[in-house]
Order: sequence, then C-alpha cells, then structure tokens
Amino acid sequence: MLKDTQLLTELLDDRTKEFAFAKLVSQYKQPLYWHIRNIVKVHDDADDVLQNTFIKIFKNLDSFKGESKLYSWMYRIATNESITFINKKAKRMQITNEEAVNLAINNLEADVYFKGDTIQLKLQKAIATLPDKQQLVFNMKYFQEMKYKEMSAILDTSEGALKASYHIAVKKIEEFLRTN
Amino acid sequence: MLPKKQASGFQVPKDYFSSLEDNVLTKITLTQFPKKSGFTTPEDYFSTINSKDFIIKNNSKPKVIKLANWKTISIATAVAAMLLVFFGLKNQMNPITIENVETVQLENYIFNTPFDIEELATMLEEDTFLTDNFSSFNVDNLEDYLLENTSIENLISE
Repeated sequence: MLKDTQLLTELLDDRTKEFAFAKLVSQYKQPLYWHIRNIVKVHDDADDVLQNTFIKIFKNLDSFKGESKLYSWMYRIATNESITFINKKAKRMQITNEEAVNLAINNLEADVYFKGDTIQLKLQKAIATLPDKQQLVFNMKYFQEMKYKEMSAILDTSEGALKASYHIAVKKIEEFLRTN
Repeated sequence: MLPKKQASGFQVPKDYFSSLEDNVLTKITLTQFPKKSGFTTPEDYFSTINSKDFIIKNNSKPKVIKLANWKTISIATAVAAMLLVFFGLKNQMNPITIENVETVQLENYIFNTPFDIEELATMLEEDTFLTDNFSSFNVDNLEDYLLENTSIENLISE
C-alpha cells in the first residue's frame, strides 16, 4: 500500500497523474464501494454512485489542498454522492428520503444481490430507524470496522461524540430486534 | 523485605474507566448481531472497475459556439408567443367601436361609399320614424325652404 503523501504527490503531477489514479482506484474501490452500499442498499445504485465518486475525485484532484487526509476526503465525496443519489431518487418518486431507503430495504428479500437471512434483513430495518448520522457511524464502525480516529476525520466529529453515538445506535438496534 | 510500594508507571487513556461499562455492554450486545450485512456483488464485479472510465480528458479541440441552439430558439418562440397573446388581449380589451372611429374618417366613409337607399331603410328601426318627431315642425318654414331651395326641374326628375 502506497503512503498517502507519496500517492498525493504523484496524483498532482500531470506526468504521473493517470498512473497514480489507477493505483488509487485499485486501492480504494472496495472500501468505497461498501461504504456506499451500506448507505444506498442496492448494488446497481452503489455501482452508479461509486462511478460518480471516482469521476468527482479525479475532476477535483487539482483543487485538493491537503487540509485533510486523502482517504477522508474521498470518503466524504462518497458519502455526499450517496446522499445526493438518495435525494434525487426520492424526489423522482415524490417521497421522502426515509421512505426511499425503506422501499429499498423492503425490496431486499427479492434482491439478487442480498443473500442475508431473516435476522440480517431485520438488522437493515433496525439501522434504517436510526438518525442519518447514527446510521453512518454504525455502518462504518460495525461493518467497515473503521477506527474512531479515521471516522472522526471523515465525519468531522470528535471521537468521543462518535463513541457515544455508536453506543446509542447499538442500544436502539438491540431494542428494535427484541421487539420486532 | 520488599521495596516500598511504588506506582507501576502504567497509565490508562483519558475517561477509560468511565466509558468501560458502556464499551463492555455494547460488545456483549454486538455478539447477538449478524456479522455480515448480507449484501453481495455480481461475480468479478470489482475487476470491472477501471480507472480509465473515470478519467476526464481535457478536450484540445477549439470550443464551437453554436449561434442558435434549442434553448435560444425555444426562448425566442416563447417571447414571440407572449407578445402575440399580449396584443391579442389588448385588442379584446379595446375593441374597435363607432366611438373609437375618428369623425373625419366616418364622414369620408359615408361620402365615398355608395349606399343603396333601400339597404339604409332596412337598417333604420320603425320607432325612428315616430310621427311625434315631426310635430314641432313649422309648416311655414318648410314652404319657405322649398320655394327658395328647389327648382321645378328637380321636383319633376324625382
């Protein structure tokens, strides 16, 4: 794995930009995909958002000032693109974002790219009942096994607040699983 | 004899013990949750993700500025349609009536248009000829007028 600073230097040099970008895509396509998938739920939608994300990353490389780590900048783009996607989908269907996500979850049982059992489906429904940021925190900590330090840089929230948010999310999910 | 008890030198992170209970309870709860989300991808999906698909090349061709495009044309059409509607409405609000016509124009029209006396008669309503309208006529004045303003030839031709 290339160090962040070395990769960034190569990305900002026109002579090495495309080669460095290929390495970037190779290194981050899976983690970014799963980050997006946990938000949008459906594979085809995640594929669209992933592509939009990489296009945006490439387009904006020259304006990346390096105030944050490269990976946290990319994850922020991926998060924003996912939310924008859900917003557009909801607007098209003239429903709320929450309803759009619930619709996607209710369709998971028939989804070819969902091999989960009853409890996994229930877990997705439980996660969908959480406030938006708590959902992000839970998915990033539980499924993506991110460290609080990494999450703090991406979500621009203190580690303490993230830990508290995670504990609350777990309690709420436990309550949902117990009562549903 | 053991040396005097001293601190070990080991330290813990800030708020470690205050958050320990929450951390342990959360971990215990999480053991009940499924480990995986259940989401899957098509076979070999990630091998299809190619950086070349995301690279936007700067176009070296000179930019062609279209003189007219669908947007310009549709805006022009909309403005023209609005003007037509506006003037159409304005005409409806101010219809041309006899009151709008200049007197000179009306006189010119009457003098220059050959009217058929019978056509004119059909236009006049019966009550226009109320005999009362003639009741104030002075017969002497009429006789004087006829004597002064007519000739026997004109009377015979009529």
